[in-house]
This record gives sequence, C-alpha cells and structure tokens, in this order.
Amino acid sequence: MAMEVITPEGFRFDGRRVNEPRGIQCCVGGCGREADGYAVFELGSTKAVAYVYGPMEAKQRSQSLHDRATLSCTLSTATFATVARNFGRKGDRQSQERSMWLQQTFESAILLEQYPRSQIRLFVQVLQAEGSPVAAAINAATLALADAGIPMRDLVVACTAGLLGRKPAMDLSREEEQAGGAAVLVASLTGSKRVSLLEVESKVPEGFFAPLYDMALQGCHAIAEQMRRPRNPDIQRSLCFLPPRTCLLEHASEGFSLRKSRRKA
Amino acid sequence: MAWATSAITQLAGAVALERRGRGAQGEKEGSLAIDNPKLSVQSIPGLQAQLVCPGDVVSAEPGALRGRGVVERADGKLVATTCGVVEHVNKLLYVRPLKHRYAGSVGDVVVGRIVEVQTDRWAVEIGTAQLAYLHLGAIHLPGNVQRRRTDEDTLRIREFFDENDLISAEVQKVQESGELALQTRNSRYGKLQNGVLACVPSVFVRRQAQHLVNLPRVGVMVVLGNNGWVWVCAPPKVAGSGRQETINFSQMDVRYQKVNPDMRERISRVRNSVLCLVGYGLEITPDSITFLYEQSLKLDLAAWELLDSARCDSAGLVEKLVAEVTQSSGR
Repeated sequence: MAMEVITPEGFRFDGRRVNEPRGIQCCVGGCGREADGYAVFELGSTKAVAYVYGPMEAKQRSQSLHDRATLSCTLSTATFATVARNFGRKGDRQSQERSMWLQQTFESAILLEQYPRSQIRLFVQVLQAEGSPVAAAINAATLALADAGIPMRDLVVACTAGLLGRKPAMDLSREEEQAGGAAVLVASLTGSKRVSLLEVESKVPEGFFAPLYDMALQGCHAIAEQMRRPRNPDIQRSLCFLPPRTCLLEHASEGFSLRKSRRKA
Repeated sequence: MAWATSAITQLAGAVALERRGRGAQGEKEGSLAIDNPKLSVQSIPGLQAQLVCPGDVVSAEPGALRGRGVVERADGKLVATTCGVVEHVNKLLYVRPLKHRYAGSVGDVVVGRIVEVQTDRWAVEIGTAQLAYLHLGAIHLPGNVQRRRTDEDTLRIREFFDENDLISAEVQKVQESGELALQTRNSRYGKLQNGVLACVPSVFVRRQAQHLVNLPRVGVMVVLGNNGWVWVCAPPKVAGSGRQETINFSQMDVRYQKVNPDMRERISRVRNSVLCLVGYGLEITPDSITFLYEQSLKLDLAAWELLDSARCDSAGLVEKLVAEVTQSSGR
C-alpha cells in the first residue's frame, strides 16, 4: 500500500484540506504588445502562459469559414516543465490531444459567429507542470481571451479532482496525481453551471464518480470566484484582470536563465 | 482640456492609472492597499457597479434592449460577454469593452499596411478581423489627374502601392460581410514616408476633428488612425508659396527624403509619448501628445526614457499627468 495521503486530521501533504484548491495567481494583459491577449495563470506552482492573436484574417483561405470564425489552439509543454526533461518532442500525441480538448472547450464558449471569415489563434504553454497542468492551461487561456476582448458566453474555468485513498479531493498536485488514484478534469461555464469538458483518463471505482465530479465543479467555482474577485475588496473587481507589469519580465528572465543553463549542459 | 476630461471618464484610462498605482504598491510592501488616493478609481462616483467580466449578470430593468456585448443566458438573465463597462442609453443596454479589435465604420481615417497586390485592388491589413480592400478606382492618381482607370493602370498597379507599403486611407464602405472598402481619393491620404509607426489598441484613438495633424509646437506631423495605428513623420513640404491653398492638398509633395537628426529625435520622442500615454491609459489627441512632449522636455527626460515607466515615475512625469487629468476634469 502506498503511503498515507491524508492525515487523520484531514490534511493533505501540502497542508490543504480535501476541498481546498491551491493558491491562485493571475497576471493578465499589460505586457506583450504583439499579442492581442496575454495571461499567466498559476495554480500553486503549476504555471501556464497563454497568448491570443486575433480575430484576424486566416493565414490560409481553407481555414476560414464564411459564417463564423475558426479557432486554432496549441497547447505545449515546455521542456523544462516536468521532472524528466524531454527535448525535441514538439507536437507529440499527448499535446495534440490536449490541444484538441482546449479547442473543443473554447469553441462552445466563444461567440465565434460574430467574426465571420476570420481566425482566432490561441497558444498556451505549460511552464511548470506540478499537477493539473491542463486545468491551469485552460484557466490561462480564458484570461487571455478575456484580455483580448473576445466575446465569450462565460468564463471557462477548469479544475481537477481525484481520489486520495477513498476520499475525493480537489485540485491534485503532482504527488497526488502520481499516487495513482482515479482523477477527473472538469471545465465549466461557471455562471450558467454548465460543463464544457470532462476528461476521465483512469478507472473510477463504482459509486465514486458523482462525488469526484461534484468536487471538481466546486473547485471550478472556487477558482472562478478568485479570478473575478481581487484580493482587496476595495479595488474594483475587474481589476484582477489588470495586474502589475513586472510579471512578464520575471517570466522572461526565468526563461532566459533556463536557456542559458541548457546551453552550458 | 478636453482630452483629459474624457480620459478620466473613459474607464480604460482610469483603470490603467489604478493598475499603475497597484503595481508600485505591490513592489514596495507586498500589499495591495491603496493609500494614494489620487491614483484611485474610487474618485469616480458610480463606477463601482458598472465593471463586468464575461459571464457576469448585468442588472437590467424589464424591457431593456440588448446591445453589443450582452447575451441572454438559458435562464433568461442578461450576461456580459466581454470585460468592460455597462452603459445604458434609454432602454438600450450594452457593454463597452476595455479593449477590442478595431471594427471599421464609414469615414474613419485608418493607417494600414498593404499585404497583397491583386489584379485591381490591394489587400490592406488595418488590424481588423478581416483584411480591408483598396480598389484601384478608389485611389488618387499621381499628379492629381482625374480619369477612368485603364488596363495600363492595372499593369502599373505596383507603382502606386507595393506590398509592405504603409498607407493612410479612409473607410468608404462597410460591406455586408463585414469587409471594409477603403479609399484614398484625397491627396492627403496615400503612402506614408519619413516616419515611424506606433501601434496601440484602437480604444485610445477616438474620432476627432482632425486626424492628420501638424503638431504646431512640436513641428512633427501625426496621422492618428482610428484603428489605433499612429504614424509620426516629418511634416511634408508644401510646393509653391509654402501655404496650403487648395482643399484637396494637391500641392503636398510627399516623397522619400533624408530626415535630419534633430527631426528624428523629435519624431521618436513623439512616438514614445504616444506609447507612454497608452501605458497610462490616456487618450491620444494632438493636445495630449503635445502636453506630454513638452513635459518630457521640461523634466529633462530622454526620448527613450519615456518607455520606461520607472524613469517616468521618478522624474515626476506621472504626477504631472495625473495633476493635469484630475485638475481639468474638476476634481
């Protein structure tokens, strides 16, 4: 049997209770004049960055539709994001499949018919995968789309839930994911309480699906609440969309130092 | 000043000032508490309830007309689709977005780049969702001749405009499909030369009386495209007596010329002033550009320093801007 994942007092490894997501940090807009929308989303130490370009004329005629915009999504994972470094694996099956999830999720949320014959391009990269990378990627993408001013039916927010022992827990970290319990990923349109993505990649024991699903949905709502509401209630609520600008600089310098270290090796 | 008044009522402006205040605070003490009231949005009464994110329910009295940026949800509630400010005009309810792609309307002056030369028209990138088109018949022929376009003109199409040329134009028509048709039938419009481009979000350039302006105290010409592309260049020479005489500007003689270092410095300072204004969320008008330009000279800031918010801050430029904005809006 694996090690104890929940203490008798009901705490997890990192000190959370089962119904608490990790700490959230959003950084939206402000930087990167080239892109129309830009956001960084952090879920604990999982980190994803998203860029949105468009709506713009499609690069190829075949990609445009006469009555609505097309959405193309790319979700990649940085080589340094995971514990095991894997170089030169761009466009592998896993990231292709995940890109597809992202595309299907957002096609239902974005009002694509407002921009006929154009294309919206969404690029998401997971910079650090410490559990629930796809959830972080979806959340980053939502923020970037909101920053670009692309009309959406709702904020799409994603969260995972998994079994720890026999208890459902919200927002799995990497250790908890690797413990091998069942896990689900849910992305929901939080305001209308609809679900736009549900991924179950492992076997869920009988009778556990409903509680897991509920737990993930609860997580979505908790995260959405924090995305909308700034930490200081005196500040305007939408101002959580306008964070300090230093973020990208930090991120860029991080990337820079990483690149340097790789060159040395 | 008109630009300053409108800047503070315009939410984008206020929010950006706020953001700035917040950023500085966060760095200093790690808390988001605001003790700098002059940079706060709170000074604008009635703004609190109006800001929305996508998916937020917009409160509406029954019978309200649904405008742009608002959709009806399955449960019958009206929700916003973009981040922006809720606006009521009588019964009409709409959300003005904080930032969006330019959508053309007839009569707008735009700055664009030719991306493709087709048989009898040019495809122009102006930052809209679709490319805009400029027909051969809608341009002004060199020498101000008025005649039908012939096959010869079609063959010589690249002599008028070639790929990657920057042009200023006016929106002539919005087609049903949303495609824009441009025209440059006036010799004020046409190829842009001897300057630099500054691209900003289109919300910062409003329609105003003049979009092609010679800034008098600066000595630089700016083309304020409604699509948010701003061209800053050396003022064109006027042929003949040196005075503008006809209304179609046919005396204007715009061609490639060598710009001297002094003018270059002024051009780059104006460009950076434009970007700096946008950084603080203020509107771009001839007045606002001139104000920032003169202040930056007074405060002894180099042109490149205008792009560095920390340097602008320490030199006191931000205080000057805020003072100007708040004072002229009567608070």
